Amino acid sequence: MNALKLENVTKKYDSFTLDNINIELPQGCIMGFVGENGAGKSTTIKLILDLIRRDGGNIEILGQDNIKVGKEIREDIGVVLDEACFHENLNHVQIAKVMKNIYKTWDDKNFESLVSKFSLDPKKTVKEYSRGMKMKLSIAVALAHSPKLLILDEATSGLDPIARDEILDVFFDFIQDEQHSIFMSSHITSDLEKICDYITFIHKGKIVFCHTKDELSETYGILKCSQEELDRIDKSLIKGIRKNNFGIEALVLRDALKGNFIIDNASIEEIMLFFVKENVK
Amino acid sequence: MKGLILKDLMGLKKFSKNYLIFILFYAVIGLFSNMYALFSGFIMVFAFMLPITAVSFDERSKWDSYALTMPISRKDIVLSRYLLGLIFAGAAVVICFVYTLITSGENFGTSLLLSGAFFLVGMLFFSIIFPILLKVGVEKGRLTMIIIFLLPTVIIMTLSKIGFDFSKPSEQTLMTIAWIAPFVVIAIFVASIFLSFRIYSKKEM
Repeated sequence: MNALKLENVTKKYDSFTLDNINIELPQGCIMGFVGENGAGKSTTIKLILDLIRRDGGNIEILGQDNIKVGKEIREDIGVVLDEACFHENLNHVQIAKVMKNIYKTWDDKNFESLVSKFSLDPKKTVKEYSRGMKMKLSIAVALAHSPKLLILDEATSGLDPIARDEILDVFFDFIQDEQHSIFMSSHITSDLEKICDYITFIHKGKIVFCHTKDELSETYGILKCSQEELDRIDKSLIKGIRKNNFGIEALVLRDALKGNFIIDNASIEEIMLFFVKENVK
Repeated sequence: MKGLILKDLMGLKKFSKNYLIFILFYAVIGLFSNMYALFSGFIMVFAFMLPITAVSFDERSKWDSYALTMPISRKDIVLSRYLLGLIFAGAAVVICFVYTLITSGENFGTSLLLSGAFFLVGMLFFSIIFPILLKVGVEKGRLTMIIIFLLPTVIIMTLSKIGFDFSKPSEQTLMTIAWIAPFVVIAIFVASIFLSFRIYSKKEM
């Protein structure tokens, strides 16, 4: 079963269109959702959560249409949104009281252990929290009602590298259960490289690719060569070119490229940069 | 639903402390100056302002879009806010009634009528304002709110300026109004809830 399935999802704004988005996240997997600011990541996540109306297409969460989805399914979803959070006057003890009355599956012990793991001060109210602490609080809330699917919008941004590592560990524990899945958007591609099975790349409202991480590293590579060498290569294999004083770097489809070339592995960040900046064909 | 109400009550706790001093101040003034209606009016305004303040807190923290990812429907959110209004107004009515009974020297019936009248006026304002606030947000809705508060005064003043006769209505007219008013206000309140459902169900978060 798919934890998440988007088919031809479209949303039109005056200055931006989310164009025929197709995403499939199999149960038990983590998908990273990358793209530059304004590419449509948050819009996609809002559509999934039915916070905004879609203009076309279908969305299924845990096998059910996301608009018809009942409260039982919502119990199984943990969400961390980029900006949205709690009343600024509340502290996390009060928040736990509220959540206990919202989620049937709320687990106080689980919440407490996460909160102390993230070292959140019970005396502080949300107003006094830093952005990172708010994120940690949201993550603790999202996990404390034992969800099956986590949907995270920029959940690790604003956190220092050590805190990010802690949280990635928490996600890693979570995904050990085969029924659990995570869909996370992020700018921090190194985080995604650490834990994701799938990478989906969105650019200007369109999905550029949706690959497993292994496929990605097998498909793309960075070729370093001279202009003459580049001219000899089949143009269809070149996805992007970057010229500098020392020669040419090109993002290439490495498995199709025959010949004696030096091809480095391409990181997600490099692939993104080539696609966005270096006139991709 | 219970969770939502709990969140609002806890969120307002800190905020209310400052207002409690105001309330006490007005209570004392009313006591000495024999203007018990002033206190009743004030506490009723306060009671209906609190849920609006709660909405402004929610807006600031973008709580609504977060809450809607939980097992909470859009109807739950709207209803919880009307319910919060009723809870505060209910408490205010009790305070008004006891206060009027003690300080004014009026009898039981008159005190009840007086607090009841304040309650109905408060409910009426709330019913009109709330759908507007849901539509445009508390920040943008502030001006509309003030206009709606001032509108009756302005209308009455203008009418009397142009020579409209505001002589005291007869006892019987007053009694008829007293009987009809609760039903009219309740009807408007219910209509307001349904209007808010409609507005909120279409709102993009």
